[in-house]
Amino acid sequence: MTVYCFTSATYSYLGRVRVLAKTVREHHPDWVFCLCLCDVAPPGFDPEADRDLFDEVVPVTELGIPDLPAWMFRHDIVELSTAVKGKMLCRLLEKPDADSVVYIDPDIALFNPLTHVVELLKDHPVVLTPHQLEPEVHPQGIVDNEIGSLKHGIYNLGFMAIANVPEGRRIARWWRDRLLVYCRDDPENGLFTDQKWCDLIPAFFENPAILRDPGYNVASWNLSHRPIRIDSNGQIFAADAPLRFFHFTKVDTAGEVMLERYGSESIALFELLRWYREAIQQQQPAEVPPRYWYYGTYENGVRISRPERLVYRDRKDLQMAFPDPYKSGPESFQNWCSVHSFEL
Amino acid sequence: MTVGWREGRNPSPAFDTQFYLQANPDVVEADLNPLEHFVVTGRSEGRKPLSELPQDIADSPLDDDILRAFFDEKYYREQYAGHIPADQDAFTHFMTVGWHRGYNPSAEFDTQFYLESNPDVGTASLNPLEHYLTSGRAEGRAGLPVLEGLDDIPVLLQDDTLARSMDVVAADFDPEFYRRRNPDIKGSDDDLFRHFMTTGWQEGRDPSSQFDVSYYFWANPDVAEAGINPLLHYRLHAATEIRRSLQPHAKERAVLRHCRAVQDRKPFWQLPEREKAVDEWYLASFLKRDRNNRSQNAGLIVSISHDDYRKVPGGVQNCVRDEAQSFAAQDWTYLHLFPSRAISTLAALHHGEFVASVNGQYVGRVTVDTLLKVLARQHGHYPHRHLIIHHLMGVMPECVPVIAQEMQAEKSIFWLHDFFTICPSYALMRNDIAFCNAPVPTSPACHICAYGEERQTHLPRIKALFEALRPEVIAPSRYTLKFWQKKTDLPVTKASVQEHAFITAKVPFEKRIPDTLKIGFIGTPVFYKGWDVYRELAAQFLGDQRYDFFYLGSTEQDAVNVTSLPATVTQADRDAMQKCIRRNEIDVIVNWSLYPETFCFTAYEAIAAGAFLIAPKGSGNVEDLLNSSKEKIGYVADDDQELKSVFETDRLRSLVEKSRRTTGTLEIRPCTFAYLVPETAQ
Repeated sequence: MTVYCFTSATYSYLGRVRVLAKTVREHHPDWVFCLCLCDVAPPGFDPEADRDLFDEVVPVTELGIPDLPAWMFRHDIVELSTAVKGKMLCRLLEKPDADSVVYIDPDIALFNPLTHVVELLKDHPVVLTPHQLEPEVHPQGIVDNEIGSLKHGIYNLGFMAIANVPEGRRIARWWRDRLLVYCRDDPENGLFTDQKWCDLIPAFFENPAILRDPGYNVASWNLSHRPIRIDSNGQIFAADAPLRFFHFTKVDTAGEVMLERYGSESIALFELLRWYREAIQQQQPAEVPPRYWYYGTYENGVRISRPERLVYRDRKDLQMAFPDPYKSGPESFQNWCSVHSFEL
Repeated sequence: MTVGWREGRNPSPAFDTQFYLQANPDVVEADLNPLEHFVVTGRSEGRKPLSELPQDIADSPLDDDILRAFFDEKYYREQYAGHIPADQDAFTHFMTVGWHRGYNPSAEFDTQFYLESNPDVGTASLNPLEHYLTSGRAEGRAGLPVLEGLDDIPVLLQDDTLARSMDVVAADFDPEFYRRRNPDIKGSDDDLFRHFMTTGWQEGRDPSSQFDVSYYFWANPDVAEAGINPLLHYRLHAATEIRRSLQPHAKERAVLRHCRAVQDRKPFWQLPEREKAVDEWYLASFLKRDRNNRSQNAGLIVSISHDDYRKVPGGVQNCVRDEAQSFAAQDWTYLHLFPSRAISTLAALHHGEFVASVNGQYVGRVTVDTLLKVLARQHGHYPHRHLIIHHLMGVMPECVPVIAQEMQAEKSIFWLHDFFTICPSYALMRNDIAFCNAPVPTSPACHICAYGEERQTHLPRIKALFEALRPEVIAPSRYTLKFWQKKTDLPVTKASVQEHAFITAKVPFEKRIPDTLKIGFIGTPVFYKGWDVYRELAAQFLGDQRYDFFYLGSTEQDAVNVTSLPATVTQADRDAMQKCIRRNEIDVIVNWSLYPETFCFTAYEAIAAGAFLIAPKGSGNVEDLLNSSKEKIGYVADDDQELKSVFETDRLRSLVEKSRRTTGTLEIRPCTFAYLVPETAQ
């Protein structure tokens, strides 16, 4: 039986995906690694370049989502990359040899094998990792981290593992259905992409596993309780547990500021950051222009704005009138937007 | 400055021209510009720039008290009943949680309105009430749709409240530091403080060694964007928010910023392309001429190191030079080879060109092929032939056993000058910032290290060399050999220790210990030698009468509270450092290597000169040297904290007093010559 591991990304994150894939290969050489690609290759890029690294690449167009252009258009880059996760999860669970499916965000890297996950999947249909495992003490920690979790979801959906058992498949189908309709970055209305939904899992489904080992899913939002250190044997620790995987949510200055705010006790954290920045830079193909996303623009290359996506999402008449909203030209949704720009 | 004030116009909301003139008839009589008068003399005379302020505001410092003055606890608890824990201070609740939720601090301030009408404040995640009081009001922003009751609030951070702002951060300003760092600013302590509070911080000048303005802006872009005095902001916020005055691990992070994967680093030197490789005849003619010039022919030495010992200064280079001269003096021919490209790794396959010299005389670029062909024809000319490997950096190791074979070397000697045989990070500094203890190459630490990927190919190549060569290994200290044997299983014919130097003619050090101890740092002033730790130490004890801090070396160092003393060790003046220590009566040398030294010349120089030595735990040969001494010639501190504590308390003086130090002569062994020809070397 096989563990399928997948991530979901666009070409601008390909460097990160490659780093993730390499670290998954290193620690779980027997896992099958798949990429769900919410993008189309830019000119000059050879998709065959990663044939050895990814066992399977599934473009969003092959997921069998009805009215695909209209559906995709209703999502920005983060929403789309997360909205496909349920579909991809169900697709992999249908593989006859799939024992379990592990989803990992592209901005994650593994440092030790995910042993506990494999063990938990033997007895549980799902494994989730909470953003935080213990209460904050500092007032700012409460605002940033605890209130942050209340707004955006208790469990971090940079990671999820599902066992291919009836309850696991039930969870996957429920999640898939919700994401097809409600994968939105809209915390004011109680939604945050694919993540906030999973707060409901412990209530809706039997026997979920909440992985409480501090070595999993270490990130700025939990570093205050998980100082990073490296011992003389070369092991990396987070709060005295071997570091399993680190979630490099942001690697720019703003990301470093957040890491520093909660994790600056040890210099080892910044060694991780140094390595990751260098690794993704080396792995990101030069053929992919900065901020490239095929579905981020209209046919004529003009960038699609957030208000344009929202008005299309919220108005059924526009969806009916423009079944392919990416088109440019006189009868297009793009043209409608320029005529009705005052409404946006 | 010319017409406006005469028309009664105000230069800013912080200065009321008409009020000032009415309140100060002497200024009117003298026909003085009121603002100028206020700045030059009025302020220091206690004259006010605005009409009288409410007492409770005017006299309170710019801290929570002022904010509390605009906070109505009764209103707040009533408005948000059920949302504020009964046991929590309502004001603290507003400052930490409440404003984020859009709660109003009083009926007089509308948080939501302020955030909506000032999106920049929301974007920067600033506390809206505080923003209003510190700068918003000065900029004419409204706190309420219809503002009432706040008209008399002083515009904080303007001239009139400068004094109160200064009260808040007075303890954070170090005039001595400011004066030393900013020689362009003159004046009294108060002048300097005012300079910082008005323009200094905007120019990026630091108020003390404990506050880094540039860092604060980097870490708090909200403050930078809002243009708030960072020191004042820090004092107001540090209690409730995570705001730091200095960057954590600043030294290490500065190193990390420049740390690249070792295999991707550019060569730091290479022989110019125009210099073509010499042919066999040319190289052979140097050897022949050398033989012809000698009455006797003791043998041939082929020696490999990482750079040109004739030109580059350094410990290993000195070793090579010493042995080269000794061999030459005893009628040996010394053929030295170093790589034509200076890189930090082994050379790639088929990139093994050398630069050669014979008894110090430059030959030129030599290909491996030419070298092997020439050496293959030389063995008949020399009664003895030995190969010495000092370093492999930049060298293609695959060619080394072939060199030994072609020259028919009797012995192959391999020096453990550092740990390059264990990792391309020869000092075992993970990511150039921390000693790694050489874990297994598959460890997570190696995975994230700038040397980790290269190490994967480095180790098998080193192993292949040792298996083919089985050299005699010499370590320059007991520590080095022990550590190396623990971390490797490379096959050798023999392994031994030969120290590069030893101290003779020891005599007790007799000198009264002065009231002010002279502290010195010798050696290369770089991060991994502990220079940053020393700089920080010196800066911390600025103005402390117990210590004077010095740097002894060939360059002038710009560091707070450190005086540079010139000392350049050359071949002609090997004792220059010892003489400098003695001449300047340096009492204590801080020898703070961040990695284990294999053999630390500077430590021996310090001890020979009679200085008391302080070194950290884990400093290898130095720690071993101090621990094995019965005379208490130095002290091994656990870490930076203990180093500081030894200085803070009077422990250092006590250690120096109890020490039975000696002075002596530092005798240097001519390296491999002393090993191969010990009787002559003596």
